[in-house]
Amino acid sequence: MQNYQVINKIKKLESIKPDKGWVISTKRQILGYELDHSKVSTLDWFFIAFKKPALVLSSVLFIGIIITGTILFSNFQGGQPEIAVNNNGMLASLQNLEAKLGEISLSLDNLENAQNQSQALVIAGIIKSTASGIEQGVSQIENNEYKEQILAVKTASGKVIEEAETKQMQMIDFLINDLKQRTLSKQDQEYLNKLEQDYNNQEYDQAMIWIQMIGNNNNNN
Amino acid sequence: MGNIQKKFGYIYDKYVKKVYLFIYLKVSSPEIAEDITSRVFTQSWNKFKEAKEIENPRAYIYRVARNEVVNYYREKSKLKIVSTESIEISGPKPEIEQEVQAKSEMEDIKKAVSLLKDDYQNVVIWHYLDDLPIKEIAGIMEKPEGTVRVMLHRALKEVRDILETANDH
Repeated sequence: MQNYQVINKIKKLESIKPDKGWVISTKRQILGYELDHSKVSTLDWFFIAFKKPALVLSSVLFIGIIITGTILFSNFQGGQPEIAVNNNGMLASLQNLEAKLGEISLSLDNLENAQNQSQALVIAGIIKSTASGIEQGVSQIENNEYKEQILAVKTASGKVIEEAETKQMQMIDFLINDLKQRTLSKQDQEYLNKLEQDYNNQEYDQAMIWIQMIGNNNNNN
Repeated sequence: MGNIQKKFGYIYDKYVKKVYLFIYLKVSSPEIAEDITSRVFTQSWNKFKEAKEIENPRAYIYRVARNEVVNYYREKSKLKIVSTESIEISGPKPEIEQEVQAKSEMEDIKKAVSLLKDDYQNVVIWHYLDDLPIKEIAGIMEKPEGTVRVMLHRALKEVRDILETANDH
């Protein structure tokens, strides 16, 4: 066995990672403060996303999920008879929503390997905001018959939110380190400082805005 | 206080996974690794609050991690540093052999690294898994760079020998 083969085998150990929930909760425990969630609205994310055509396809998937959730919610509220779905349909929709959230959770694992980290970050932000919306929407449904399924959707949403935030954190950290190695314009350097500040404040959504601005500024130059 | 929290938060985000991996490979239990990693960062945070700044946070955190692992084994009366001389390269015991064969490649390499003596484990983990340059490892270990290079070379040879022996059986 050659040295490089041994090193490659050793490198495989990099896949051993701590539990994401533990990483976040331990940080909270040690530093004694709560993570500050989204200061940017879901709508803001979509505006940023659609400036990048490559993101449209990914975003459509999430819009689809939102629409499914909205229709579902409307039906439970009984306000839209023309799109009424029978009880079996409700159950199927909830199950579908849970399954889709599971798929999203799996696909999040590959996000950090995306070639364009900036776009991957935007996607992670959209995923987080969308999952938050789903979680909030489903929380308002009051129906004992589907209590278990509603709880399953809420759990799946919570998992996606946590995973998306961890991905954001990892990718922003990577991007900051990468940007620090580069020669930046004065304007971009200012954005980078603000980005680092927001990242240190755990305001990941806000940090995303600066990343997008650095990108746009470079494109304009 | 707020600003110090932010700075340490950044340090935590940057090193927590690597430190966890470093500890996990030494204790082979996710729960114990989490517990020790948590203690390492709590201790580092206390030091950070007191000193306001740590010159080389990574080196400091790894020093704390090494001490905590030693303390863990000491407390459990299980301190067992395997020397290079004591490794049976010629043939593992039957039950170990069975175990190695049954486990995946990942388990084999994990086991091979865990069989290295403590210093060799450290250089392998830091250099190949944490991408630390030799110079920085030498700084953490307070040893000359040449010594670290030799240790790394020997450690790699040992890992290869252990893996080859496991594959032969």
